Amino acid sequence: MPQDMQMSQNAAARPFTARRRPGRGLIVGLVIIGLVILLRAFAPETPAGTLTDTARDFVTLSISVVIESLPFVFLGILLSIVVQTWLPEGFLLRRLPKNPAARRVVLSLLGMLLPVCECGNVPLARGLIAKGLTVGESMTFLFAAPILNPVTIITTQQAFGWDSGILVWRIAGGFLIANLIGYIYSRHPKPEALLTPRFQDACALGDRHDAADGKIKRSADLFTKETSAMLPALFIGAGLAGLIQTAVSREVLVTLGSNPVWSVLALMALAFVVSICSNVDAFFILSFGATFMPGAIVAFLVFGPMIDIKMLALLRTTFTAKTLVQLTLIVALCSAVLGLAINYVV
Amino acid sequence: MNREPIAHPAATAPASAARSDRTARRRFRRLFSVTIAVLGLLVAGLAAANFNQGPRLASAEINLDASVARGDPRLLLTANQPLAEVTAGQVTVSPATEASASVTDRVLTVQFAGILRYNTLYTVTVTDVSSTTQNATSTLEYEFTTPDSDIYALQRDSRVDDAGAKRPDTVRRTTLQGRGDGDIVFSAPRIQQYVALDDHLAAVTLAEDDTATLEVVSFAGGENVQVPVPSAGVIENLASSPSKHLIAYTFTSGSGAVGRQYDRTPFVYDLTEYSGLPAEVTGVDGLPMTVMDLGFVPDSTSLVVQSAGQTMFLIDMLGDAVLTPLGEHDEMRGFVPGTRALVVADPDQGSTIDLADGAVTTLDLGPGLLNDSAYPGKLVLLNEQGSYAQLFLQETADINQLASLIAVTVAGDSSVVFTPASDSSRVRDFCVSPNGQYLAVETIPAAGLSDGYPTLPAFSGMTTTLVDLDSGTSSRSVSGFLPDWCG
Amino acid sequence: MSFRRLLRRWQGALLSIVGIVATVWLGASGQLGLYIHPRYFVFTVVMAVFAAALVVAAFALVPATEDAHELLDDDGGRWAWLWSAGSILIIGSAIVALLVLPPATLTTATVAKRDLNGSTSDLTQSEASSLVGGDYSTFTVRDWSSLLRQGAGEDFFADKTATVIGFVTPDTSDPENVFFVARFVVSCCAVDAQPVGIPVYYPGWQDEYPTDSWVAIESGFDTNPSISSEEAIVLVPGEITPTDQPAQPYVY
Repeated sequence: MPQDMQMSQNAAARPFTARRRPGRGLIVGLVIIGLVILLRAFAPETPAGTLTDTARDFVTLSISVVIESLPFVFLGILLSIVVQTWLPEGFLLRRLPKNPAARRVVLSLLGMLLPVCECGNVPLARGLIAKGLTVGESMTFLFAAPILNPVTIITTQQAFGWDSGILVWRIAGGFLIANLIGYIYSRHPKPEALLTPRFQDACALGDRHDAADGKIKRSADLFTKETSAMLPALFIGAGLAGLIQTAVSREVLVTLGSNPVWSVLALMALAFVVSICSNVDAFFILSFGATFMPGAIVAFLVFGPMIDIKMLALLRTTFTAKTLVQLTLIVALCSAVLGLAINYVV
Repeated sequence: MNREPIAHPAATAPASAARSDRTARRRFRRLFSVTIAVLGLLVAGLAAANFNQGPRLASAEINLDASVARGDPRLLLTANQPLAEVTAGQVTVSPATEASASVTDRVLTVQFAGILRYNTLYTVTVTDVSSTTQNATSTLEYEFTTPDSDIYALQRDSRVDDAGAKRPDTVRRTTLQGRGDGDIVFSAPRIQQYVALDDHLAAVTLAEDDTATLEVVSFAGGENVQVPVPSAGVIENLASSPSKHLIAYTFTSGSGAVGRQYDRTPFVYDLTEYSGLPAEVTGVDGLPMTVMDLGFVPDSTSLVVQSAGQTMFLIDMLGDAVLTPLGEHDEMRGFVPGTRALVVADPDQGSTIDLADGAVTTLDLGPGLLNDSAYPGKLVLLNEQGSYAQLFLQETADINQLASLIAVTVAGDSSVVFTPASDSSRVRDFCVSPNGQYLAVETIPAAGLSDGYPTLPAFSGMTTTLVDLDSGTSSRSVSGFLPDWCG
Repeated sequence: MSFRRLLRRWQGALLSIVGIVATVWLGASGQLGLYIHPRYFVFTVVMAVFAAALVVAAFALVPATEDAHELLDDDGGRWAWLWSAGSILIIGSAIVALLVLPPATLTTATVAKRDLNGSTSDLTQSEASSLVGGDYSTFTVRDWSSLLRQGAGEDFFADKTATVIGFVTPDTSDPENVFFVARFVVSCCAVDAQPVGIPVYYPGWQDEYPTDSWVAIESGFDTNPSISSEEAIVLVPGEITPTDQPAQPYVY
């Protein structure tokens, strides 16, 4: 897209923003918050007798996942906002080593410094490509960052502790798979072919245009974007976790979960579907911890952050369908190998 | 991608560029295919390996301290998959121990029969374990080492130091694995007897005029506590329930005492109540009792007493101290190791009373090896199946001397497990360890001189030897006598 | 400014508000313990307050709709209404679950789903040993059930008195005569709750104490008189006192 067209579009958008009466949005927001508080305050106090025990437990379990996860989601978003808004541009990229393998290793650890959740790092990875990183290198970052990320590590540790080994396997698995993919795609003869034709547009637009809007506004803007991307998946995931725990019979879960092979495949399929954010997926899968074998849990925790329905939808903005199929295949096979190996050995 | 443009003559450039492009594409496709193939093979191989692997041990739980203290300990083996039923035949324990197994979900419970040995590496092997969902079987193996046991002994010292004062008597503590006589945990000028508890030691000490004092020492440190006694007098029959922090004893008033006269009156004292007073154990209708013997039921707060009329009573000191009569018997002979079966003896026969349900079993002990050739002495029952150890005195060439020896009879088979190092040494007493593994035998050397204590007199130079009943070896001995197992 | 775009833009903020209000309200009314481990209480409330500030800032500063060029390609498709319907469903469900329904603990339905006294005993050998010499009056349902599970024998329990509070849940092997006084052990949040319980022999308990009601029991242990029950040692209480659900219904 030519530069002048972008300018004109911004020019078109801005008058609209300017037309808003200042404070109107604030009033709308406060009214909504007030209504929600009133609703909570005047909700019936007595236990709802109409609900069966199972239905009550479904709600309780789902709420528990939401309440436990929300603060960590918020923490992740706050960190991501700080990184994206308040750190100088290119601050980290200039210091990358020259050796390709070492570059990829450093990039896969970049998530520790850029703690953005998997949905947040797709735009970031696009930005990295635009700033001159190869496609392979940006893939390494894209797949490693959701796992090698302080919030993810903290929540996994909180959920499973150090002793179970799940955290270590998750970190190691994420790191290795991301670097493997980076290596394979660094060998691609035409990396541009991996990207969608439309990527140039998305890439060229970036997030740069509103740098002038002020950091507070940009933070608030990022907050609405990230919550809109992450919270629906979190709520669906929480509901699904509660549903599986209450609706699926214990026999099925135990039979499936205690089989070293099917447990891995089942939880990978679950990871693909629930699309829960990597920051808090450990809390989601915790409910399966007692019935499913550790390899299955690790496979879930490694596969989910890299590939799931939501990630594919987001990645589709950047990569061609063929590339995504290849990526899915590699990640799925690697996760399965990891999970099966853990089930075999541990 | 920093691929250098390759310099070529202008004419061939497009063709060679196309060719190198094709090669690169082919290379990438090959790399990708090989990666996928390798990963696919790994998945298939690991899946097959997993399908052919039986259940594995995820964790194990056993209360080791209880395993050498109480009967029938349990080992919980948690597998990584729900397990199919396991029969007793699949379980082997080394060293050989009877054990049964049961399965609930992922947990396999191995229940041992009896008490485990001290300081022993146990290997539990469960063969042919399969999960409920797969046919593959595996062997679960778990090893654990049982804890060591403390051994206490009382050393009386009649020697006089340079200043002309008598050297103090000491109670020393060591362990089965330890060397030597261990550390002094209590010392006093004259110690009549002691009992060792989990956290305390209680000892009866004697003053110059033979007046008894009952002192309690905490292993955690702190001041010794004197248990109040009604007046000057004699304390006997000191007994303890180590895990319940209770001691019991009888008190007899001295000749000069004023007020109420006590005659072997039983008392119980709770060591955890430092300021508390000992509680007198009263008989039927709350009347004072005179007892011949008393002892605690192992690991409980219940006391068994034998009144002067030979009637035995079971009294739970925790509740309302209601007396349960256990019948009239000649003698209390302690408990079968690891059980709550009280052994009693009457002139014609012995019997065990299971205090858990009150069942009385008459003992039909097969004749021992030496019954015909020697004088039988003290008898200790080793298990509920009727194995026993007995002291015999055998005539020797020297008409003034009888040789001591201890024989163990298992299912009618007798063997001598202990004879003193020299014929002139004598066995004073012996008892069995709480887990039935060892006999502790007190021997008096020929040159031993009596110390003349009014109660429980002993001799100088006594040693206590530990005899392993399984191997018949006596590898460990400590100086002194009255090992805590005999308390 | 279509409704679809508006929803797409603000669904995160709306869900945040629902979550924040629910969290803060639970925190203020002392009911966070129904869902998460107490160690997260402060963190959860603090993050909720931060997020609340950001939500308010977002409403005050962010334009109501997205700039046109930021739209992703799936907007305006034939099935786009499905996304909006989904969003509305999610927001509606979140409002009902988090704001309308009263907070509740887990019930017997979950006990049945998870293995009562299963393999979650976190007590290690060393802890158990020190427990055995410990102060029994402070023992919870969890401590006792762990000791029962480890196979501390009858003689061990003979002179012990358990003073416990828990909810009533039937014994599967003999529901007529035996029930469990149970608690959930929570190590992170209610999702990982594992039920633990002590069997209680009390024939006809159903008539007096409904399942899931809370009771306080002070009683000694005894051999299980029930023939069909799989439990060897049970509480045989003379009296069971119905009680209110404690402020922290789970044990940790």
